[in-house]
Amino acid sequence: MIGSVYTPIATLSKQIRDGKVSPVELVETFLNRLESLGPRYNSVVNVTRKLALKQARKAEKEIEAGEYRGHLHGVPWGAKDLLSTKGIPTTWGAEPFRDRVLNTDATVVKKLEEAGAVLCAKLNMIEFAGGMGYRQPNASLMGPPRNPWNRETWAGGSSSGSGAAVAAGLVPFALGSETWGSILSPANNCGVAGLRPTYGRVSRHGAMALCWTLDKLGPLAQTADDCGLILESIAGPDPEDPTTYTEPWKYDPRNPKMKFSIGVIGGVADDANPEVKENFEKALKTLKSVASIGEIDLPDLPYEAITRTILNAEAASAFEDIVDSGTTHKLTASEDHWGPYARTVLLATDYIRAMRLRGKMVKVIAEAMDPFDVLAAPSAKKPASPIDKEFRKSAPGTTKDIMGAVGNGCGLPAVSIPDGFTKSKLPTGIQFMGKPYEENTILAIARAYQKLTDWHTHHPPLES
Amino acid sequence: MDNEETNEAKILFGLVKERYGNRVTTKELEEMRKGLEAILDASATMKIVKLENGDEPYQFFKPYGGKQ
Repeated sequence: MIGSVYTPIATLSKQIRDGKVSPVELVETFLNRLESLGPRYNSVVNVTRKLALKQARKAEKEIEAGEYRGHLHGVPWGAKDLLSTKGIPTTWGAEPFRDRVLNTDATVVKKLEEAGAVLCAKLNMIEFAGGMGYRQPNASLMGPPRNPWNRETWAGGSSSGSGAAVAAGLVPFALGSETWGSILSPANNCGVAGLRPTYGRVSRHGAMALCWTLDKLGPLAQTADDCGLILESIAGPDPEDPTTYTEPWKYDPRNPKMKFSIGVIGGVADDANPEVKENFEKALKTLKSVASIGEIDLPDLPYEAITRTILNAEAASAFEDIVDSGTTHKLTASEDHWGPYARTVLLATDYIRAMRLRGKMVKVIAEAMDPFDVLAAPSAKKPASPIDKEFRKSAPGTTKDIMGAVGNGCGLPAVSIPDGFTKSKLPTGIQFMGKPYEENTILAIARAYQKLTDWHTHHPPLES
Repeated sequence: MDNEETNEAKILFGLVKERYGNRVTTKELEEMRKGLEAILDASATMKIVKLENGDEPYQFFKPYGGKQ
């Protein structure tokens, strides 16, 4: 018998393993939700019903035969539509690629299939993962990605459908990608957990490249614990992606006996929305029972300029043919038609300077973070913005996001979990950013916070 | 670059116009100019930091194939 669609993976997998939940019934439940509720949020591009039922029947047979593969065996999931899937369209969120089929499975898709997870849907995303400079939510082939907490607000982006589908209980988990903010933003807006792994922890092979040295793939799910279980299945070396770390990664769900040490950048929440700031401060108070908290001042470096220049230069090259061919003029957001043009004249010396400064940045940040296990900050400076309004008034790179610039520029892992609600019932989030390859540490702190609070057990009303 | 467009900005914007000017409206062209300003501002900000000759790009090249 199927329980709540919000059942965390550790519980759900035990029910599946014990034969209390049938993978086929479970998958049918989520397929029906994807088909009936997905369009309410513009969160789904394609429901993969035929494949999902085939994979679910296989999982059921194997589990009945005692061939249990692990936590994700028989568990439904959804893929951000920049992950290639053989025989199924991969749109990159872009109208011109609505029917395009890439004849390959991304490494993460293969890894999840090997883990016995069941692919139920390709999920909507911002066209080209936001790589054309979008400024408002209506920037996707399926329409503006709506937030299950309030359909008149944005789900966040660019892994919009991944966040919304998890929040609305359309899939137990989803994969997203982050170049700068694309996992943490939907996790924040939709009130779910989102894990951005260390750069190189997860193979990018078969995923759309926006920026080769910044792109990361990671899970969005109900809890931090879920994210750990999922990461274990998708992490590890891949000969197809030479940037992958050479060692496999094992999730450690045990709680450390020592108190955590949390650093907070001085003034990091000062320019945040007052309710976001208030919830963040309350979260820090709560965390004091399991952590010591100290202020940290980062050395003076142009973090945003460095990471933004790298992003602009690599994206200009990654999409050169698409931009030159005029394909961008067929995109949904009008600002994406011309948004990528200016960066095509970025000088090679400026890109190389950014990469040289990156070498300085990784060292000073490692040194500054040394006394702490993690840095904490609001996941985003504001809750979900209105669905029909610009969330960014000016060109990318002109707003301050030091955590995003440092975290992505240095390839550091971060997890976002909900830390409260605004008066208008929109979720807010807290992020924990760790040292390279320290996913187990950030997940342990996030789990500790989720043990002390119940924000992650709140779910959006379906009528919203 | 606040009010006065630098020569460098003029030259680079000329290149943007040369490449894509016939695809956009005057208003869009103005937005592209602002986008270029943000890119050049970032470049100027980065130039404040002194780099030494030995400060290499943080990207590693490795020959492919052969015996290591």
